[in-house]
Amino acid sequence: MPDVEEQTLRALARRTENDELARQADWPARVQLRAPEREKTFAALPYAFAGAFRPIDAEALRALALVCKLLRGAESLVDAPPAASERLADPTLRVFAAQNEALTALARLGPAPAVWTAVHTAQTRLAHALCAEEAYRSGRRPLMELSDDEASGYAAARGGAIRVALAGVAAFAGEAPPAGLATSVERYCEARQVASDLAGWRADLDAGRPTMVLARLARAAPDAFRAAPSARPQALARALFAGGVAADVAGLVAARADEALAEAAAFPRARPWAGIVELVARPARALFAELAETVAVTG
Amino acid sequence: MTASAERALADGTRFLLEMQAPAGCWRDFEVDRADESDAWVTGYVGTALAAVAAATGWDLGGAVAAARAFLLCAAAERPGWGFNGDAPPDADSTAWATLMLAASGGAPALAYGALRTHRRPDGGFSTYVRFSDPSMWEQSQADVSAAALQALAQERGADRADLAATGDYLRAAQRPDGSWPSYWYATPLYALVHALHALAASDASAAGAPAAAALSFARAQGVPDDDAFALALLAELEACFGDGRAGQLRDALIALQRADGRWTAGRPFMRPDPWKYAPGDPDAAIVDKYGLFTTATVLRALCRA
Repeated sequence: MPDVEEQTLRALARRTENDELARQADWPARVQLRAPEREKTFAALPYAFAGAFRPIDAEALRALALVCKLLRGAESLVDAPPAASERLADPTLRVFAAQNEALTALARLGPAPAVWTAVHTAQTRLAHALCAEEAYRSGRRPLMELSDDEASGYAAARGGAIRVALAGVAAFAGEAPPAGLATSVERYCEARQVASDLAGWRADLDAGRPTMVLARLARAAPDAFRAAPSARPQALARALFAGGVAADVAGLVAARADEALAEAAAFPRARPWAGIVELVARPARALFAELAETVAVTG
Repeated sequence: MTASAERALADGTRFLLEMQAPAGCWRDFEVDRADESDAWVTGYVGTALAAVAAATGWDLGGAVAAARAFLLCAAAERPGWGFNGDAPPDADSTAWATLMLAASGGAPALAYGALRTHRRPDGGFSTYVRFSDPSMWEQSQADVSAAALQALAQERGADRADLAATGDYLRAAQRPDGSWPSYWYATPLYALVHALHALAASDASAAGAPAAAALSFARAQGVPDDDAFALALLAELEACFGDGRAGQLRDALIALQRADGRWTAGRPFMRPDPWKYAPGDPDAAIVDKYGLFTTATVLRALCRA
């Protein structure tokens, strides 16, 4: 993303975060609406799409950004509740507060029914994904049965707030979300989550969280998975990096991100969205090249 | 102190104690990459808590000792303190950590030494010794210099000529309208209050004329009645350098206290990366997400008002 474009998006993201903290004032400090988000441009999602549509009222766009930010926080807390040692309050209370503020803000906006539908679809989809993952986490289904397609669907379910942003901007412009942008969002969500799962594979292993990365490892190195707990991480790391699993997954992430970019290219006025996708695509391409070389050398 | 002020002070103090992390620090302000500040916030909040203990006689020794231990450990392997352990040491964090330590049993000589490395030839202090953006290390900043001078004035056997040089810098930096340039804060009141405290700490007779101009500026500018951070600074200004209007401001602050004992800023007030924004851009500033910094600022004011 060009510097000026990224800085503009970051400034808008900061505005959204400040709007979110203004809503925080009514809730106890311990019940934080905000979930930590390393990528700040996520707080400016509607702005990233806005250029692709007819002009929208600035205050409506700002309010929609707040709705998406709050929904994103609730999603993150449901998906990955903070560890007990990091909790200031029960995460349920935080989800309760973030959902309340998001839906209150959305109701004030009075959007078209399509936006409410987008919220409903996003949240039911995530709930289904989390329930299906629970079957693997609990051991009711063996991890090696988690197929790539199934895992991709669960990964992509994590982007509900982005879909609401797209649906919202389209609705306020009086248009339908273009299929190409919707596909771009779908591919991006998958790429971003799988990239995150690759980076956090050790934490996911410890937490028993089923991901495409761990399922592929379970299939590629079943002995390493059965190794004694003390030897398991090292054996799995070897299979992951020297065995080529990480390179394959990084290649898939880069491919999905490139597909997202290709779809977004048809909407040059939504260039900030392409910039957000680039934040995943660039490191994925670099990681793929590096890991492929590692496999070539060690293999 | 009125009964309602004492109750507000007690509830606010309890909030700070409950929000202290097991490591002894306080964390607040979230910047890029979800980083929060610990050392800087701990220095500021801990200084306020020490002021509460001194004003009320309440036993806050456990919390203060834990904060003190956190700060001393944080500086064990590097000179001074930063926004947090991942950020380089800076003069503002070092000044507030030094003030906190000085108010709770004494700051080590190393703290004062670390602070002095930020002094510029004009007598003022820059935030960093070296940093990516030149505005943060090539130029003195009034708000940082004010905190630094207050800290250095606590040093036993402080070099009076050094203090006077920074005092001269601050006097020269005061604008004709009575305000000081504010680098890190969106409200001019922070620099104003601390510049006057700094001048008074370095030389008891030094704050008189600057204070009159500063008060005139602050009163003319006014403060939004829902902004606890700015109101607290104005209350502290009136209590320490004004003529008795602090009582009204104190009552306004008490009315703004939240149910959990904290105060929240009505406007974003801290600019974490001012060099990236045009002057006056409202999107440049952020608020303290837990309200710790604002609450500490109000408690300081209530102790004095």
